[in-house]
Amino acid sequence: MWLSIYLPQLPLETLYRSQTVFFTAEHKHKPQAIIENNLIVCANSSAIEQGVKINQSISSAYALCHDIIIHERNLPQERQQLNALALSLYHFSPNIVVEPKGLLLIEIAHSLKLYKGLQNLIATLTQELQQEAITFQLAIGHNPKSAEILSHKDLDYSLACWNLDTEQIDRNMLELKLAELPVELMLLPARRIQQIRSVGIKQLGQLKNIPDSAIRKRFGQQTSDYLLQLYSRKADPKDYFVPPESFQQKLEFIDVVHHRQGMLFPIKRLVQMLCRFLTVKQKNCQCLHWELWDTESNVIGFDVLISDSQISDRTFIELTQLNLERYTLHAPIEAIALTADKLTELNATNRQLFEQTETFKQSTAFVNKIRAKLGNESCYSLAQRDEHVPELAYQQVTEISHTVNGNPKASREDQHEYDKSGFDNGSTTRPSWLLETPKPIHFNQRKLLWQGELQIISAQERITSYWWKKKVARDYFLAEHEDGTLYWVFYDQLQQQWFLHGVYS
Amino acid sequence: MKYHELNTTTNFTFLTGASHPEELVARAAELGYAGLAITDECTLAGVVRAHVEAKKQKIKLIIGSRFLIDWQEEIKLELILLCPCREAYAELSSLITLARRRTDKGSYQLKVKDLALHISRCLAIWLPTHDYQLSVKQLQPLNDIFPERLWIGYHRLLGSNDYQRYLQTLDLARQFELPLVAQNKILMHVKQRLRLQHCLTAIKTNKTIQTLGSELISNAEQHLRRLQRLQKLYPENLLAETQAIANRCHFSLDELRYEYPDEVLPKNLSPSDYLNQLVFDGANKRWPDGMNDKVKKQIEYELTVIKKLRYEHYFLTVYDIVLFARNQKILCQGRGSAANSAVCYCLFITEVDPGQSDLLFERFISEERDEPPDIDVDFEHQRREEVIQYIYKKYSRERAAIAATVITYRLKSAIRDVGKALGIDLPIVEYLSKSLAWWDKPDSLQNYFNDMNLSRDGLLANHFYQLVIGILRFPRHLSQHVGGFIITQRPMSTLVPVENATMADRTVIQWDKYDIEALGLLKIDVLGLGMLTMIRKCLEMTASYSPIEHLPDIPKEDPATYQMLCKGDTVGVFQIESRAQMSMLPRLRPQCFYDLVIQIAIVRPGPIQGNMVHPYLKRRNGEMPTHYPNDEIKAVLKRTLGVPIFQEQVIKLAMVAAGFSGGQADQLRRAMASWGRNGDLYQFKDKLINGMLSRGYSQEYAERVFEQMKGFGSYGFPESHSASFAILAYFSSWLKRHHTAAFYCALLNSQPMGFYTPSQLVQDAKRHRINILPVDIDHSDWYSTIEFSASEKSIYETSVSEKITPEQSRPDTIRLGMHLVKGFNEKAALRICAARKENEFSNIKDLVFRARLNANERDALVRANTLPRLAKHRYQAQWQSLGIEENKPLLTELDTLPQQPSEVECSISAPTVVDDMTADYQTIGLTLNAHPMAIMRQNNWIQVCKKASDLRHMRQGQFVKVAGVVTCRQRPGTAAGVLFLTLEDETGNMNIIVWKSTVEKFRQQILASRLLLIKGLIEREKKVVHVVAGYIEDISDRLPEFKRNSRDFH
Repeated sequence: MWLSIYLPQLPLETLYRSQTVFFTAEHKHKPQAIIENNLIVCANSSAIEQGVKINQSISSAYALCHDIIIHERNLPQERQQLNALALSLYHFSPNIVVEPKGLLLIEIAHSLKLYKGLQNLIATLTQELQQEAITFQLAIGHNPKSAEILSHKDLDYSLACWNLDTEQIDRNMLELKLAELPVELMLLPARRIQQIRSVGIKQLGQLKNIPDSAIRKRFGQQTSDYLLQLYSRKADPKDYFVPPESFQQKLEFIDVVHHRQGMLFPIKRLVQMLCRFLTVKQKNCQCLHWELWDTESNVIGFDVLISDSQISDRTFIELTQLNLERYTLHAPIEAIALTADKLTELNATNRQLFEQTETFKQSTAFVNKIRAKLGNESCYSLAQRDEHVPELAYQQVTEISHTVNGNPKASREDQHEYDKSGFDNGSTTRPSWLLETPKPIHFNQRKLLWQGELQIISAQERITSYWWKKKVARDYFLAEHEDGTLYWVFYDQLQQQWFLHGVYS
Repeated sequence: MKYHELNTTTNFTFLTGASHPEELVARAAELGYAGLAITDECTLAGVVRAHVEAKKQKIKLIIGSRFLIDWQEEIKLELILLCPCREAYAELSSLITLARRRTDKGSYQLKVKDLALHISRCLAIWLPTHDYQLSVKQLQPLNDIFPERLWIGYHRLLGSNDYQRYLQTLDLARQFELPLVAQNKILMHVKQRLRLQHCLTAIKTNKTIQTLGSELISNAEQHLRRLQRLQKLYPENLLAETQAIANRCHFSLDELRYEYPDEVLPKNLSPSDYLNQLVFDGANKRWPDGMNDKVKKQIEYELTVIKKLRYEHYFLTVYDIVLFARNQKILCQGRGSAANSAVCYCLFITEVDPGQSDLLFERFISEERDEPPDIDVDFEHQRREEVIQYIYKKYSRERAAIAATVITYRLKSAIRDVGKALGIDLPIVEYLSKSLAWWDKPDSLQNYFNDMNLSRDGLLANHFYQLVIGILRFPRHLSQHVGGFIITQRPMSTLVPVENATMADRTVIQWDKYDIEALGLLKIDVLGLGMLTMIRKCLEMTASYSPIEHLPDIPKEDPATYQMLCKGDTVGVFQIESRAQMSMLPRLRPQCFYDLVIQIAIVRPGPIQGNMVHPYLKRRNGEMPTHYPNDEIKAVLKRTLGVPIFQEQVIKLAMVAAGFSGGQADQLRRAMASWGRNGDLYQFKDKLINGMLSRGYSQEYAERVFEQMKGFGSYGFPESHSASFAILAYFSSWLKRHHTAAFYCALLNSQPMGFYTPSQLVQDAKRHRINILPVDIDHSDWYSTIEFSASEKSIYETSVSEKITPEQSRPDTIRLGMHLVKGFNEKAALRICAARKENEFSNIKDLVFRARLNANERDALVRANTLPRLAKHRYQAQWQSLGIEENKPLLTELDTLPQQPSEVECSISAPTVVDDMTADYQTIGLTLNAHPMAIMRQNNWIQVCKKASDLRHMRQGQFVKVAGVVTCRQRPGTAAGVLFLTLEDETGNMNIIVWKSTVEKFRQQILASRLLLIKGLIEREKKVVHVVAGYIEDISDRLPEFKRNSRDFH
């Protein structure tokens, strides 16, 4: 006995939840669609009202609806979304199957008793799904395939097969219902469907009357298997969903949160989800990584280190709140995310702070603990980047808090890029110490003055670049101070001002 | 100081140089440079443009090229080669050819030993590497290859280590005793192009600007800097050395003299004598009764001009190609301005009889213009390749090549590439490239970026806009010209580099037709024309049952043909088959050949925009008097009733009415052709109007003439061109009128061509009482064929035609060929035909094995329902076919008996009428059974509507409701937002006009529908009936599976 949850709007709804594009309610009402291979795969109601259809080309969509906003499909994110949903439904049944492209199948035979009947189960499930704010269609079936194919119809269509007296599926009714379905609904390659239709077969019922051998010969093994499995004449083994190794969840607020107190409820909710996850997995975690997005696209990221080996939502919430107090919120918060990816076995013994072994020193745990002592901001490493503009060519690289310029992935990827390129522009003239911000220096009577007189001792190096963000146009020189120190100075052509930018060791 | 820039990369080093060659030359002149060398990387594609500009600016141009030569892995040797003389130029051009021909299109490969083998005259500037030791190694062999001809180039671009590099370079110069010379690795003419250069780098590397880092150039110093600035940056001797090099370079592209191939000339005959001989031989054939004096005078005049300008070889070369085509029975015909020449007519290159028309030879060749003539010849499109192969064979690939077409950035490609380079999301870029409304209003772009949260500080939208404008018209790559051949006496590669084209075994030269024209070289256009293929195929059929074998057999000025044309019955006829042409025919009512010439030229955006159509029609119908200001104007405009319709008339008008000289008038013609692209035409406005005023014309008349010229733009037809087309229009009309079955059959066999789909052609044929038989493996060949049947005669077999052709039986049936079956192929069809000759097929298995059909071929035939004898219906056939297991040919022997259908097979129900109809459209693109609209009418799936055939009898302004299949949506740029729809039902086509406001209201219905129901009012002028739509309903869902593509023109 299976129940299917079909999520027809998953591609769009995944996008709404993602952090890459900022969506207000007003945005969501604009016509929007998702494309894959240049064809529309999902569209919202305002787009459909204007004539946009599934499998339409982008150009037709634009022709019909000139202000439609089109996004590329993000399958990995959809998968993540489906997995998150599977996890939250894990208490309905441990036998959940995550099918690609927006479908969950739940084996419910054993859960019926727990929920006191199908009606109750569906009611509870519906309630939970509604809280998730996703569009869904439910169906029941006597096996995964029938539940899946029936999910393209209203729930009532498959519920008509449910015998209230026997509390079982009425097989005869089910076969009748299946027989009426169009062959296009079978999950088979388009070419096969076309072949089946080419002999005039349009409904499943027509196929059922044909001997399996004739079907296999003409429409292939896959079609034969599909039909046999649909009618339970062949086993249909499924890989059940296994909760992931790490926890990662994000909540987005319909109304923004303006103060820290307002964060308590979402923090609680995420921690509870985490605790449920940890209990299912029989694991504990040592570090909660929080990220808060505000309406100006700034990200606050911080880590809460856990020394306790117990799963305790109270402790987690308390520590998180303490940490949060160190930050000032500059703008309303619109999303919060919690990641816990360094999980330990629940019964693992606690280690000493500062173990004196070399391996421990090199491990991230060591760094984490140092950071916990000194504060995250005080610890960073430097990396070189392949850029002309000097201050962009050196970059702070953080290890745990993955947030650079509001892009959580930037630092790791940049580092990777740098490693690959093995960049070395041979700029031996660059100073080893670059000031964080260039300091203005005086230019008076043809002399450069900065705590004494500076003498230009090199030819200029001109850098004109970065115009796409903030134009830079500078002439760099080597300058010798009257005390013998070598400085790196530049004349800013835009501000028409001299600056000191670096010191040579 | 005299300074020459010797390292200049233009935008013909694709996606690298950020300025046009002309811009660089003009800027160098402006800054007072003594000259510059264009040294694009392994190409001479941009040098002609630079040459033309340099002549204009009176600045010295040195021709050269820069190469990255294979040295060690990753590290290349960078060298500039410059041409001191013609021989050096030939060396360089051949070297580029060698390097390009070795590799795929767009790349090249060169080794140091190639220099040793092929270069003995070019001067070389070597550019040092960062590594001193490596530099030493590179210099050693070069020193031997270029004795006294090698320099070391030094550049100072304000990098971080300019000084160290200088010391290093100086050291190398001393060690090898070589002179140092300054060069600036120019990529831009002004520094403002830096952004565009960065953008080009991003496009080239397929990355975004933001991620390129040090791959971008670090500053804008690679532009043409002021001389004072250069003097501050370089020691004087380095700058002076450029002059020393320039002094040694005296080659100019003007030296490239065209030498014609000799093959076309018999021994002991001068080109002029041979041409005269051929022309008068031809004249005797053209006028067997002797030519009149006017023609004779014309021929003699033309021959004198040709001799004077020494163009004989050119005519003889074209004659030779045309002769080959005729011998091979490939139909061909010259078009364009060549049709203005009696010589071309006598050589059988063109078909416009100079005795019957008033042609303007000066439009073709003029001494004053001193430009080579341009002869474009159309050949049958399906056999043009034979002509091309003949040229290659006769002159060899070393001496014949196809001109290039420079593919440049257009708006859409610019938006896409710049968008990608700036890192804008792909869907947004797609959106912008599709909806170009923002183009007119840059503000709307800004708003869109704001909406999408893309332009935090407005910078991005601004950059995007500026860069798109900047990159427009930048060359992207060289492509093959449609058929422009250039043939030389010496190897082509000594004249211009030759490189590989995308198409296998094809090469193109690095110059396009404008370059060739600018240098005064001659080219021959070998073009393909579908109508010639159709006519040849039709004549092959008519020859089998009638005396009509060749075009001259077709009687001229046949009244029955004109009668047909007056009705607008021209589906399939050359040039006058479009909806606009068809609507014009009943109004213009052509009665003779010259009317056709006008008909073709008048339905063009030029005359329409110039408001020439209505005055002409009114005068023709006697509704408006024709008035000429004077006799001179009358002489020019009389044949078109005072309305200028042809380009030639506009030119003559400028000469006669405004006192333009022939040369000036030709400049005016060119300006007209480029109108819309630039404001060239306006520079003539004052001259024209003042000229006319001073000759006593009114201001109003002068203004009107200018407006008409503006309207002409590049759309206006020259009369000679129109006349050439009118000939084909007449021939095809005559064939349609008198050999209807052969006409449609040939049209079907020449697809794709023309304006109509096979489905529309077949329906039109049926309306002309031609029987159409389905594709059937028992009867069909690969191509469609004509058959005789005893049934009733074609609709036009009436008394009129019988006067022209003797009473005889005509085929009235077409058997559709297997070429119509989608996914099928000719070889398989031939196998079927061969196999069925032996024995008829006993069952599908027998067919599959004997004709050796693979699964796709079998499937295509079965789905198209081509086996009516072997299966009851298409579903049964498909069931049987799917049951055939492949790779079991041994069973063939057993399967020659008819199969008994299995139980399951018998249970398969036959397709419904709708199923059959939709499957027919999907598999052969047409149906011979019920039309979709007929099915819908029979089943009452639509409200009661008028049919297309009913519209003919309806009154002006009458309310009407119609429904049909959408076959064409057209929104011409000239029609102010009006959309023209063509609907088709079982009785014919209906023309719908949708005004702009209605288009907006029913946008979705119009664009997304396959079937439409329209309520509107009848709009009629004489026999031309339109429906002006008021209400539009999409009824596609009544036949959900019916799919048919409409031809949409926006």
